[in-house]
Amino acid sequence: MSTEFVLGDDFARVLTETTQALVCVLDSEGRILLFNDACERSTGYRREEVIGRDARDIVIPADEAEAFGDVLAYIWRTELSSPQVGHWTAKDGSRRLIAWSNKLMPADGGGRYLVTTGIDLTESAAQTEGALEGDVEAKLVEIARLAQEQRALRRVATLVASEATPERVFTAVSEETARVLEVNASAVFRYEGDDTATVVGRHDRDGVGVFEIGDRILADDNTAIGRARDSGLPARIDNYFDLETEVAKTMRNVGYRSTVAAPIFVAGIPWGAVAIAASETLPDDREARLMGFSELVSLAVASAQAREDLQSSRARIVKAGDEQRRKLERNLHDGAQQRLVSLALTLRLARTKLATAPEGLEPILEGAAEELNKALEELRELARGLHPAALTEQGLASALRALGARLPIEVKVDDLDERLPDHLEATAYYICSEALTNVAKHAHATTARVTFGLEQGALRFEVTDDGRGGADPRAGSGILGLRDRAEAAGGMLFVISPPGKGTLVTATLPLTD
Amino acid sequence: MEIVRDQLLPWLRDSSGYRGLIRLADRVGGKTLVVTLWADEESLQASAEAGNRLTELTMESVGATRLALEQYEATLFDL
Repeated sequence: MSTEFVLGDDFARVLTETTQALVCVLDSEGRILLFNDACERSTGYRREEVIGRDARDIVIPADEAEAFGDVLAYIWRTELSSPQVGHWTAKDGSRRLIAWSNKLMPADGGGRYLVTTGIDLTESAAQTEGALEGDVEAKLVEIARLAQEQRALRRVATLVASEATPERVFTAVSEETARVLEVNASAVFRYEGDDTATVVGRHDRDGVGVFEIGDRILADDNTAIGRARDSGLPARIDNYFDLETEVAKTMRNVGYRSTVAAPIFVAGIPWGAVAIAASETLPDDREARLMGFSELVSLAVASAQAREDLQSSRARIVKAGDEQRRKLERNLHDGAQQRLVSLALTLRLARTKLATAPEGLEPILEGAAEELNKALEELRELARGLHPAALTEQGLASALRALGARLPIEVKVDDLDERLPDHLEATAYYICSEALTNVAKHAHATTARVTFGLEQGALRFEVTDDGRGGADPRAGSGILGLRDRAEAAGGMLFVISPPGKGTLVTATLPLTD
Repeated sequence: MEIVRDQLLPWLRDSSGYRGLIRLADRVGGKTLVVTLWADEESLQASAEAGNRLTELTMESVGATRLALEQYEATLFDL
């Protein structure tokens, strides 16, 4: 029996019936096609009363009907999800505040439905408002606390903006979180790609001296930072006395009972976590407050990585230039220069023969002429490699066709009638020619194709092949070199190369510098 | 021999792994021994074909004949 769980129609039905979330399906006209139990509970309407009716005639309040229509039209036009917070009117006339997310779903018989799911925020919104009633003293304390938190966040943000090293930001974040969240211990961790994490910043007001910077600790399911990594959400350990792990023992021994950790995302991937620890169980709001800090660490790490990427791409561009010159020198030395030396020797020999045996001169001169032809051909080839005359004279498509004709694979190049700025044609030519040369050398392909598109002030081109795919963008500098060129021209380049499915190199270059 | 000095040597000096050339002449016996030194065997092999062709042309133009072309590993230096 298979243990694989298939999300079939039954699952969707059961989920829709049992979930606490509001699930409502609409057609393009805004008519209600599905209205689940949670919707009934929230509004007091029964589904027979609403199915088939325009949502604007029944649940959408009149003052939000126009906005609702705009959102509907936007989603249908762009096919993009568009999360919303809005009101529904319940049967008794009360207003419910609901946070919606939505997604278009293809219908069986063609066409599409809009699936929307919502969380009823009415109760929690009322609670928040209620919290601000009560006595003035408590309100002032709360405002002072918020102000302190904002100042701390701003100090860290200023540090991030000033391009301080990540290490300084990690230390500052540890200090500020400890101060603002009123704990004596806090730390920033970096995930190591396995089930461990390294301490990269810490604040230890008690001087307990555990988890020093550089220490690598286990971040499994029994730790808050491990849970934060796996769920992508803040996580906590309420009581280390309930756990028998090394980390729990260490924490207990230095007097800490609980921990809250918030994940740090960089480029959408959990990069690390900010965590605080205390001798008592930490209050409920600590997760949300810690997130403000973890988001700043995300920014600091992302911007430091971007700077590092820029630096290494500059270094690669310089190195690629040096290598290119060295290769050129080698090619000249081993090719044309050698032929010309040989020609000089041959002519010298011819002069000797002229005096002693002039009848043997013809083959010698024939040989000299041949050598000269080869030298010229090699020089032409080198010159074309530096900057093909066809590019200047006839444009990008023709130059690439001329290059393709010299490669051992079939190269199809789309027409491109427009002439573009010189630097742009040159960049596009080198990226395409490098990509085509790679195809000929490594891809085991028979055919490659180059297509162009001019759109929104940018030239977009693609080089595809029918080869074996599996090109690794990290291995070798070939693909990195292409990306460096595209990025140096203010553009972008991506390589998609699934094993066995050919390779696609796609680049977009802006038409203006 | 100015052709060797002006054409062949400058080209040779730019070859990768080239480390020097010594010409020893036995004026009485009319024999010449030319030793070229290379960084490693790989460099020697890389230049072997071109070097051989150019040497033949040089010899032909000065009217000499090659008696032998041999390869050795340098195992002791005291220069």
